[in-house]
Amino acid sequence: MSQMAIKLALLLAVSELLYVDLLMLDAVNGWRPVGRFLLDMALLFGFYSVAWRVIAAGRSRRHDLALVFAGALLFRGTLLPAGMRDPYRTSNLAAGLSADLLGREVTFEPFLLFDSDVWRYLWEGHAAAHGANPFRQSPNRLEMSPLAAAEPGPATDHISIWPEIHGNVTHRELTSVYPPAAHALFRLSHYLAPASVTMIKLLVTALDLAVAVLLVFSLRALGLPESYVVLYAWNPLVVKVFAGSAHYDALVLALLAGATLAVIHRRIGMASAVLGLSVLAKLAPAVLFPFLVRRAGWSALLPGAVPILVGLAIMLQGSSNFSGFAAFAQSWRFNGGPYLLLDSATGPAARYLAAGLLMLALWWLFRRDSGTNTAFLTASANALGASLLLSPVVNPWYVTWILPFAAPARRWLWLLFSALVCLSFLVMVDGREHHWVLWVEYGLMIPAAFWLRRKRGNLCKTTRKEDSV
Amino acid sequence: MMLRFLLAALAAYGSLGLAFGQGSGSTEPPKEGRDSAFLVTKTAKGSVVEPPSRDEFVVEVDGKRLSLRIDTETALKADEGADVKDPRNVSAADLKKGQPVRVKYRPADQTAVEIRILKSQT
Repeated sequence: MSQMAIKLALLLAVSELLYVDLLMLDAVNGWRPVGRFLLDMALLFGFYSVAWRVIAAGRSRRHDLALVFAGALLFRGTLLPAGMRDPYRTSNLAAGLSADLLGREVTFEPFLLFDSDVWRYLWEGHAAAHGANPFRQSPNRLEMSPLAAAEPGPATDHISIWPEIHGNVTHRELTSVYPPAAHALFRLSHYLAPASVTMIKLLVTALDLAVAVLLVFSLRALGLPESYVVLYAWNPLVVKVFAGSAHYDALVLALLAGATLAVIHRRIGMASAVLGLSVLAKLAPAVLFPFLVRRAGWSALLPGAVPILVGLAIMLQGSSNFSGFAAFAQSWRFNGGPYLLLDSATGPAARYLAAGLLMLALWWLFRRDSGTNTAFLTASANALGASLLLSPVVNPWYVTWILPFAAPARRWLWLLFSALVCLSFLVMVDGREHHWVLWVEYGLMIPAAFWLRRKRGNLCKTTRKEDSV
Repeated sequence: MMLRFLLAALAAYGSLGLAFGQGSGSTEPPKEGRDSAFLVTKTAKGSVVEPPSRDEFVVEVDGKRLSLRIDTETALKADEGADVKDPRNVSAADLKKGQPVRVKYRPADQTAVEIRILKSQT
């Protein structure tokens, strides 16, 4: 076993201890639990950066990649039961998972490591499977009550836990905020195991691991060491938000990683179609289309337009009211950075200014895009990063959208952002968002950006000469 | 090149408003004070040990006693067939000793968010 493998194995072991601690954490409001969570995440990011340095300094071997994937699997497997009541007792774990998978009992708490979106995924999959339209019918509509009945029957998939799941859905007055591809995932999960948090987590984690595999193919095609995938596979934010909290954004990432691989292999039409599908899972990747046009001209848009138009037709079926989309687009705010400065300076004009600034940023990136594979990765990471910086809502898991590009291209600023955005969990201390957190979170990005710009030459030297970009 | 970019970006631009706004159930419009979307809740299933007195009641969950407050925002519900006077108008007075309940509560201030009286198994 090489020295590098021994170091990686040690890092894997200490990181695993921290993931076990996250699993055991009673994630409730208050300084103590949130502080412990942030300390664990900070240490995990520390070990993650050391793991990168070990890999970058050594000669990549087959078993190093195996270790990276062993860690990726172990970390995700550890956080899979996060949110379950007493998951660290073996008997409880097995009984809880089986009761959840069979729909016998709700064995997860309403919050899975401080996040609670999974309940809406389960509900919307259930509602759609029984002929309801989640874009038109919000969970609290009267006609939805048979689907949440306590008495088992055909409308409740012959299980009795829907009232509790319905009770855990937040903003029940709003219709769905998730595009059609997300609904396909919810339906699949419902088909495999109705009302199961574990099933959603398994699907999301499988997609998350698929991203890692696709990145290995991309790295290989780019002539870079495959073990560089550690920058994605061991990223603690990724492990927390997918395996730990079941956010479906892993679907977006898998499609983005697929589109990237297609671009690297010069299959721009396929890349466009896959990018179109990713827009059906989350709308933000739409900002990447100009970089495909840069490579293949106008024809690049057509394959992407087809799935988007089909998705729009699905969303517009019936008289959808889009109250969920409207509420988010008009008034939602959370953890916004530069956008909040615009908002305080210009008021309602901030949205238009932010959109204008984003267009300028995209234009600048489009101009700088030289058409190479590396340029595509860099431009995509920067475009998605810019769209987040100018967004009024920056949930921590949104930052993962950048990682399929930032990891292989080693855009350190965005990788740093994936660590800093964890500070937004400080809202869980007392349910209040504090401005000083935003200043720290986004303020640290500025000196980091300058430092990285100055040190760019040195950073390239820490990797090998042949893969500096 | 400018024209090419502008037309390509136009496709993206249409979705920007939604992309900005597209979110999750964990966030809410800003409010004064605490935001309920960020107040962690837990659920417990057990039986009433002490019915409400002075806005407090006690349930037994897995052999442990859990003392919880009821406030004006606590929702009271009952399953079909539960032992209550009027299932559509459940009140704290319906909580009796030994009654099976499922409680959703905030551990931070030990306040019940929702109490659902369950149908007795016997």
